[in-house]
Order: sequence, then structure tokens, then C-alpha cells
Amino acid sequence: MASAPENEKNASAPEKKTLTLKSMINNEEFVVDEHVALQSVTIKNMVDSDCAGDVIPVPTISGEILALVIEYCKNHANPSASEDDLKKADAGIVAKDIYTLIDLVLAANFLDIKGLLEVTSQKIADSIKDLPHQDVREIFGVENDYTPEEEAAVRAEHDWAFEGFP
Amino acid sequence: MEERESEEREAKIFEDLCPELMEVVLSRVPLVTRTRLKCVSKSWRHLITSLRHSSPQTTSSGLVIFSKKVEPNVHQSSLIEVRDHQDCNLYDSFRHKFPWLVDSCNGLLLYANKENNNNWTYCISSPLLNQWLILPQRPKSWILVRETIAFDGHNPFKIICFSSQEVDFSAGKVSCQIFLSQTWKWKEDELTLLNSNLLLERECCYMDWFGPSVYSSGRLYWAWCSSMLVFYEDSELFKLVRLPKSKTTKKCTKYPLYLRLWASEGRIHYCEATQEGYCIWIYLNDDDDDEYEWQAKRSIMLDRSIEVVLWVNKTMKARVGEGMIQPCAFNEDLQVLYFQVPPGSIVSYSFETQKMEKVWDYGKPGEDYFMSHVFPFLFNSVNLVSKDMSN
Repeated sequence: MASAPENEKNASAPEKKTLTLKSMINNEEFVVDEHVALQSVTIKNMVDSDCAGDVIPVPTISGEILALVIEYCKNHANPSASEDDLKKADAGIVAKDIYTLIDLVLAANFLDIKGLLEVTSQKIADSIKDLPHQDVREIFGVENDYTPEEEAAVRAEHDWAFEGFP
Repeated sequence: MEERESEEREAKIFEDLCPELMEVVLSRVPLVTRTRLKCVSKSWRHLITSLRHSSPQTTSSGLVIFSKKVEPNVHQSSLIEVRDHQDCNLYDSFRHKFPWLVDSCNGLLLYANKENNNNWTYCISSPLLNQWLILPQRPKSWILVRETIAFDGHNPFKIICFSSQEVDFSAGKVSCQIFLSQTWKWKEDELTLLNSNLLLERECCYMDWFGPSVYSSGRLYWAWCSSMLVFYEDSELFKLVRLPKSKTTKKCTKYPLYLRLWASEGRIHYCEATQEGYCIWIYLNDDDDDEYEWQAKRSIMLDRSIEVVLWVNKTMKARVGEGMIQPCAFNEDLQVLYFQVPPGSIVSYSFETQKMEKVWDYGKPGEDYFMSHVFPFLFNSVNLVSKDMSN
């Protein structure tokens, strides 16, 4: 979903620069105001060092995820948004399934957007905290390299953390 | 085919996330869960262990120590920061005229005073912002009640007051006074008490003695004799639940004011004094009316002697769990239980290491140390005069 820069009444800059971000996974393009995109340290570095052309290619991030990232950046670039509004908006962005959240945290990490990285990793942490370790293993696609005996031994060593856990 | 694709996708996830990003995520997972996740794989175990060493668990909850009469008519509260289960630090200490600290909840403290006309008056404090606000006169303020703050840390707070004298057990009604910060007014209400028959079969003589309360997800919990009293904030309803009992339970503790309930991992935990030490139970089900909703979690054997400073230059060996040595606070982030050890020490017990350490001394000879109380305290800068509190 490509979106044109919004005309804000109180925009102070006379000329509004825009950047086009392009997902290299599905070639979706997003036109965003420069000040919105510059919340990404990665993009800022590219722009500052004149490495950015008209279209900035974003590898490994799908259009769906990029749209979430841009939504986050837009919210946080709005100077009139209150802390409460931002909190609510952030909560809405991360109200996703765990696989989307993992993609989002990877995107936030790649684009170097600290705030988004924080809210997303917190949400992942909250989503896995009540899960049995077998489920977490599956979600993150981790190979179980313990033998059953080794796993039982690790569990026994940390017995206190399993007490009362189904 | 599809399955294989998803397998590939999963394998990619961990490669991509590992290990810096995984560290960012895992550092936000509570200690108990994180420890459980050591069972995921060897690399996770390694990562979690190193994470624990490189960036130890942090906590914003500490302790508040209330000491009565440090000078005639002057009392003192001290806020103690907790770094880890062995390390505490004095954050601030302040003196006040209010002679009782009655509750501490998510950054707010409630003080009480009995005036010459026998009426109780209250002051709510946000100590981190040094705000002290006197509350309007409580209805029936001559009655001694149990005052409890219900505060989630952000939104308006309430103070729930009731007295065991005002409970109608046969009708299942409690008359109580509730203070709302939004209106800055008290209201009186007669609220329903479910399962009130549990208190009729009482085995305990301390009808008026409630242990410190726990506020968790819109509910308040108190240990009351052999029951747990629950207050549902939204529906303004009380309910009694029978507390579990192990074979070696102590008949009736002499000091019923010690901490018996706390919240951890979103669930209520109950600490039962037994002959050997303590038995920790988890309250499993809140929604149906099953009688036994408790699951035994662990026993803490407290036969380990710890050294306690007694008066000046003298030490004694004391057995935790005996006499007045009682639990006073639980730190969920660190999974540490604190014990108050007269005449003025605090000892920590870590669920993780199962070690006890003396972490704080606050008693001095001549002080009225038996009137010292230790409560949990959350370092949360609550602004009592902000719009959020009053609107």
C-alpha cells in the first residue's frame, strides 16, 4: 500500500522531501516523508552519506512488515502525539502473532529503530513467558541438541523454576 | 512441501535472531521463565547463563521500613533499593508525624493517625515525589478498620476499608468504606461476601488480624485466619476461599501479621508456616467455585541458622521461622523472599540459589524496634496531583 505524504496544516518545512522505500521481498514501494524515515538509523546513515538514491531498497523485509514499521515511524514523528497516544498506538502495532513479531523485531534491528525494537522484543517476551520450553523451541525453530537424559538433568538442576508449572 | 518450507523458515529464524537479538528478547523475560528456557537447547542454556552473569536481573521493587518513635512523636520511613538478592541500599529516609504506616502499593504509601477525639485520619503519600495528601474524614472514622490501597501503578487509586466487626457472616454482607481518588470522596457500601460460612468454622482467635494485602489484576487478596479474602474491584464483591493446609501446619501463629500472600507470574502464592519452615502454595483457579484450588509448590526448610546482630557487638544465632522472624516481602523479579528478623535485620532467601543472606540492619538500641514494619515498595514516581489521579 503506497501512501502519499500527508498534508499537515502545521507543517513548518516549506518543501517536504520524501523517500521511497522498496521491499526487496515483494517489490512493494512506500513513499514516506523523509523525517519519518529518518527514525531508522540505518536509513539516516545512508542519506547522510549520500548513498541513498531515489528509491531505497530494503532487503529481507516484506511489504507487510515494512508497512508496520512505517506506521510506527509515522506515529513517533508526529510532534503532537501524547505519550499515552503513542503507547496505545505501539500496543496496536505489536498486537500480532508471534511469527509476525519475530519478523518485525528483525526489521527493527536491521533498520536500527530503537523504540520499535524495544516494544517488539517486550511483546515477544510477554508472549513466550507462560509457554512450556518445548513450545518455545518450536516457535523459534531451535534444534534440541540435548539427549533426553541431559534435558532431564538441566530441568532437575533448575527444579525451582518448574515448581507449580504444568 | 509446505511443511518443509515452514521448517526452513523456522531454522532461519533462530539463525537470524541469534544471539544478540535473542539476548534482547530474553533479557525481558521474567527470571523464572528464563530459567525454564535453559531446557530449550545447549546454546540457549549457554546464552541464558551468560546473560544472567553479564546483566543481572534488575528490579524496581524494594522495601519500605517503618520505624515507630525514633524520637518522641516522630516516626521514620526508609526506602530500601534492592540490587540483587544479597545487596540492598538506602535510597531515602524521611521523618513524619503519622504514627502508622498501614499499607504500601505500587509506589503509594498510606499512613494513619488516631486523633485525640478517637477518629482515624489518613495521609496518602507518593514518597518519590515527596507528595503528602491528607484524605477527607472517613465515614465512621472511630471504627478501627483494615485499610488497603488498590492501585495498579498508573490509574486512579482506591482505598478499601472494612472491619471484621462490620461483617454479617450469616447474611454474607460486609459494610465498607471506599475512598476514590477520582472524586476525592469516600463512599459507604454494603457489599456481598461469598462463602462467608468459612469464617464461622473458625479455628483462629485473631479475628481482626489481616496479613498484608496483595493487589494483582484488579483484585485484592488478604490472608484472614484460615481463609483468603478476595475483593473484586470491578464487581465490588468479596469472596472467601479456604487456605490450604499441610500435615505439619502450625496451629495458630502468634504473629498473624506476617506476609502470607504474594503475586508471582500473575498468580497468587500463599506461604504457610509449618513445623519445618514454610510451604508455598499456588492459587490455581479463580473462576469456578471449586473448594480446593491450591497446588503445593515447594517447601522451604529453614533449619539453617543465621547470624543476627543483637544489640551492640553481640551476635546470636537465630532460626528463621521461629518467634518473630517472619516473611515480610517478596520480590518477583529476583524471586527472593525477605524475612524481618528482630531486632532490626532483614534476611533474604533466594528461590533460585536457595541461599539465605542477611541484607540489611536497621535496628539500634533504644529504638522501639518491635514496632518496626517492613513492606514491599515499588520505586514508581506516582504523581498524586496529576489529572490521571483525579479525573
